[in-house]
Parts: sequence; C-alpha cells; structure tokens
Amino acid sequence: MRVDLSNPLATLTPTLDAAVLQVLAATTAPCTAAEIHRRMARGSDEGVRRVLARLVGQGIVLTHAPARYPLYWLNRNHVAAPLIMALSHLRDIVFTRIHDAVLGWPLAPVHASLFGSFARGEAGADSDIDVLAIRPRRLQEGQAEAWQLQLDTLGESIRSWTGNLAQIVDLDLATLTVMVREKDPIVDAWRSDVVHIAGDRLIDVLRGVR
Amino acid sequence: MVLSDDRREAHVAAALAVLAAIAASDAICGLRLRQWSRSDDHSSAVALLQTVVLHDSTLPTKLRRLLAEKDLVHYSPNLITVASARSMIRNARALLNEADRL
Repeated sequence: MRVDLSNPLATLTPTLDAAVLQVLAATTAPCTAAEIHRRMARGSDEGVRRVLARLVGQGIVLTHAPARYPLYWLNRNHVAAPLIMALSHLRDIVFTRIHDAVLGWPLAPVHASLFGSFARGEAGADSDIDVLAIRPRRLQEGQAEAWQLQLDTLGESIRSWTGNLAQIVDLDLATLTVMVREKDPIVDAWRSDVVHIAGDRLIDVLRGVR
Repeated sequence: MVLSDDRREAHVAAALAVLAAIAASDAICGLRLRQWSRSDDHSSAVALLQTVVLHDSTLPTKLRRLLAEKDLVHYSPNLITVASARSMIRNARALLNEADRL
C-alpha cells in the first residue's frame, strides 16, 4: 500500500472521518464544526457534522457546548488516539527515518536533502520521494561501491517504509559545479524546495562551487 | 550559519533570525491549522503556535524569547552580543526545522 503523505489517515480510511481526525490531531485547541470544515477544505458542512456526531458517539472526539456552537477536540486518552496521532504525523516519521538512516551512513555525504513534492508537503499516493545526495569530496578506491550501496539501501528502505518509490539524485561536486555554471533549472528548484537532512546546507555547498 | 566575532554582523544575523522565526511560525500554523496570526500583537502568534501539536513542544517558548528581542535587534542602536545572536539563531533554526518537517 502506498501512503498518501498529504492525508496519511486516508491510508486506512478514505472517508471524511480521516480528514476530520487529521484536523483534530493537529491541534490542542477545541474547534467548532465550521472551523473543522474550513481547515479540511473538502466535504460538506452537513457531512462534517454527521462525522463529528459519529466520532463523539465512539468516544474518540469529545464535545462541549459552552455557547451557541459546540466545540470538538480529540480525546487524547482514548486507546485509539496514539494511533491516530502517529498516522497524522506520518510525513514527520518518514522524514525522521530517512534522517536517521543517512546519519548512520559510514560514508557521510557532503550534503543530503529531500526535494520535490514530499519536501513541499504535496506528495500523494503516487508521488516519488526525491532525495538529493552529494558525494564526499574524495572517495577512495572501493568506496564508490560502498557509497552506491548506501543509496540503494536507502531507496529500498523508503519503498519499504512508505510503498512510494525513492528517486535518488546522486551527484559529485564536479557535476554540481557544471550544473550551477550552466544554470540548470533543477538547481533553482533545489534552492527553493530542499529540506535539509545531513551535511552542509545546500546554500553553502552552492556558494562553494560557483 | 557561522557567525564571526563581529558584533555588527551578529546583530544583523539576529535581526534576520527573528524575521525567519516569525515566518516559520506562520508556516507551521498555516500548514497545520490553515490559519496564521495576522495581528500586530506578536503574543497572539505565540498563543496560536501553542495550539499546534508540535514535534518540539518548546517552540512557542523559543518564539516568545525571539519576539522579546525583536525591538532590540530591529530598532535599538545598541549592538547585542555574539553569544545572544548565536542563541537567537539556534531558536530560529528550531522553528525552521519544525516547519520543514510538516
């Protein structure tokens, strides 16, 4: 199963319930039904109220009516709450796993980052997870293969963790220098998109290769 | 960012760190709550950030500390210390890291 990383709860239930729970899991503040609907940006007001009534009945959402409009919040004591919280933070969990994997590499990259739709928080079920990895400055004999093995293992891990394919851009500094010199448009995309994982910041790396 | 021991550079870096932290806080609130603080009163930005479920729950405090220094770094002719600037940049970076993860 591929993960819809923009709406991870939809991995389990592709209904309005997932979107309502996603909104409530993101905040500690009670919300009105209208506010929940606004934050979801989908479904109907009536549909949201029906879902809330059902979730209140199941005890996963609590409600209180101090004024005209009832307020709703996630019942964080409910046995299902930690699972909902974890699912709503899947992107963060995937990021942490990639981060930890790269930090454990015996051959540390000059720079590693995520870019593309996952980095922008726009990834869907069919999105690849794009990784930029810049090789160490001087790879000794035999280390090129070890470097490639690190990348292959990371790609397989990402596929295993998410169901989504990993696209890993593997560059050395000489190639990056040429790309910068020739004003390759992808370098500008990296400048605006990247989420840093390890090594030097991309802006510092690019400054160094001009 | 690597700061030199020049207090003028540190002061500018700290001023930019405050702006980066405000932008990061707005991004976090926008992404998680689909709203951000439009008030001129910066304490409302901290209050809104406190309603977000955060990976790093100390971020509202970090933002509050940065905002407390805003007038000093943006309007005062007195330069802050390099140590203070480093601390402000660390706090701003924590907010930026959280925004990156959302």
